[in-house]
Amino acid sequence: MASVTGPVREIQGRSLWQDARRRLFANKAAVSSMILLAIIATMSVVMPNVWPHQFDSVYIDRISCPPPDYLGMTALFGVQADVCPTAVGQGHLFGTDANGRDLFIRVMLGGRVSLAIGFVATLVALFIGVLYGATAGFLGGRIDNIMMRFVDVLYALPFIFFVIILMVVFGRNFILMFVAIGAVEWLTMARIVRGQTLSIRRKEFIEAAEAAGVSNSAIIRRHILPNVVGPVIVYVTLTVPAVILTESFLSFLGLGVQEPFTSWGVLISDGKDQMESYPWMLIFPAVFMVLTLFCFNFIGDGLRDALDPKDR
Amino acid sequence: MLRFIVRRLIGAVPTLLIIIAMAFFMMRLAPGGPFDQERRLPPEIEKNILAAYDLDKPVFQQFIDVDSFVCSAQFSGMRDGAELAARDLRFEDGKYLDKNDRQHRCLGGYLGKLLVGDFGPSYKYKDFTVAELIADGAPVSAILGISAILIATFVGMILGTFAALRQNTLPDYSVMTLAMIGITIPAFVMAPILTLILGVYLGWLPVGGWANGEIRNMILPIVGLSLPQIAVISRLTRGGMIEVLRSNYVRTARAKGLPERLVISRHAMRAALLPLVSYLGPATAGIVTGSLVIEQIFGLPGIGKYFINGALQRDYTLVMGVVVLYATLVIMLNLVADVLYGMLDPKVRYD
Repeated sequence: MASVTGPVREIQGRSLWQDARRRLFANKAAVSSMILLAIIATMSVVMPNVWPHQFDSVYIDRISCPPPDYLGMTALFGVQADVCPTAVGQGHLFGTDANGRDLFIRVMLGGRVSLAIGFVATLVALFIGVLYGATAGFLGGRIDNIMMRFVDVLYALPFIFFVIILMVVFGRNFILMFVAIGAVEWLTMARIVRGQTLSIRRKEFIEAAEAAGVSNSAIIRRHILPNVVGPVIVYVTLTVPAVILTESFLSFLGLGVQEPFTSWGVLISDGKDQMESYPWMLIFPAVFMVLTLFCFNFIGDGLRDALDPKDR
Repeated sequence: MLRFIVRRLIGAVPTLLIIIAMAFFMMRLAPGGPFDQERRLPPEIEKNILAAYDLDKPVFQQFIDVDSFVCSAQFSGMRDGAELAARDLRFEDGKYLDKNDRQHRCLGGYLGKLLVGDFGPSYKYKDFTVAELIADGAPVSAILGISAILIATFVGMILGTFAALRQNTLPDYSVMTLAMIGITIPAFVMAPILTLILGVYLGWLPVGGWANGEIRNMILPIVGLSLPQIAVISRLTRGGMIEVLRSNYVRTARAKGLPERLVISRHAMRAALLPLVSYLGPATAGIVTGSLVIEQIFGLPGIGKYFINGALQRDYTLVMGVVVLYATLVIMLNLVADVLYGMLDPKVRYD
């Protein structure tokens, strides 16, 4: 039987998330940032495994060798390209550092460490902050008051000093650094989640769930958390660069990651000491770190514009 | 108003106590003492060293130690007598000293000493007290910090207002791009790059050192310290200004024919600057942490230098002293900001 009406056209509604995705992908700065960030992250993860030079192998005959002459850069620095004859043709894309190690692979490894700390510490902050904020906002009343007073008190502390003390006291421990930085950054997260929770708390669907006898913890998990995801995602993308900055700050002061491991902060710190004669040691890690920070900020801004229906 | 200030002051005390206690006990929890060496010292000498630094008492007594006998002696004005002698104490120069010349106080321990401005001896800079070291670095840090915050406020306000008045035009976008750059690029990247360009390539300014406070030597550190703050302040001013310019009373002021200059300076500016007041606390914190990095980069003899050296060499008393000092500073300026905000904004009530 031939169809008379032709194929039925289904009307497709667009969910909030589809809307948000469309708006995000229309934002050129955010999309290019995502692509760039993906490239930097992939390079940081893959390169240390495939690059011909190791991050800790020292070439005694190639100390402080300049990179290939990109756009007359070495001429600008006043360095002759033939100072390191043995280095030519060895594929030191970013030159070598003051210890004769390949700088490219060290920048990549630094990226791996910085990004890892960024993500893990943010996860710690996310976990504590969301749980704390949702509980305070949901329970409300006096408990909420006490819990948020506590956050206020912590907020007034200059926390970076405590991270420094932790590093001084317990030595430069990788895992401790994750936890310490994460423990600093959860406060804002808790405030955001609590504010959102408070506003959702009085909505009818929560009342309905309560009337149906759903337990408190299930309401928080099933109904409240999904509704606070938007602002939390935005804040997460802004926390990652903040954490990377904190880590670099510590490393810069000599309290962070230790040799032969490295992070962008360590590389920048080392590069700063050499910049008068060998500026590429500062420029390459600085460019990578700044690019990454910009990417996160643009993505965060893009997400905020995409997820906030008020700004439409 | 006065009640509000007093209440906030009292409210700041527990916060400060928590900071001091946390820092103190974290330091004491540290594995390995500051005087651990490859070769163990003879026990008698080690005992003397520990006693000299008050490390021989239980940890809690090191933190706070109330000596009720000295308290009552002070209260009754007892200067000598059998009771004093029975406890091996003597009174000299207004101090109660025992036979080892250790001073006994009514309120002792770290906290008690802190109350009278005694931060204790430095563990690593022999013959110096922490207070002396801090006093040595304070002028440099203070000059840098205060000029940075003044410059940041001034420049940030001008840039922000300028951008707000030309909202969504090229000047606005360029100021906001600059602000984005200032916020994103950390001081420890910005300052070396500025030094590289202005100091090394162009040779206009010295790359580091203090030179007894030459203005030329101060320019780069102050710029490095104030740039991130300029970025934030110009953003805040722009936001506040744009909101105020849409308000009814600004429209009224324009409608009654006031020249734009007066509308801005007399009417809009005041309300637009309110958000800046509450940024005073975070700004101080930013300048303080920034100064650690900046002093390190330019090799300046400020408090930050002592702090970093202390941290790297496990000079616990020195690190503690600086943390307590800076925490107090940040908390106090938060308080000042709160009070100022209350005074400036009639909508805020005190109770």
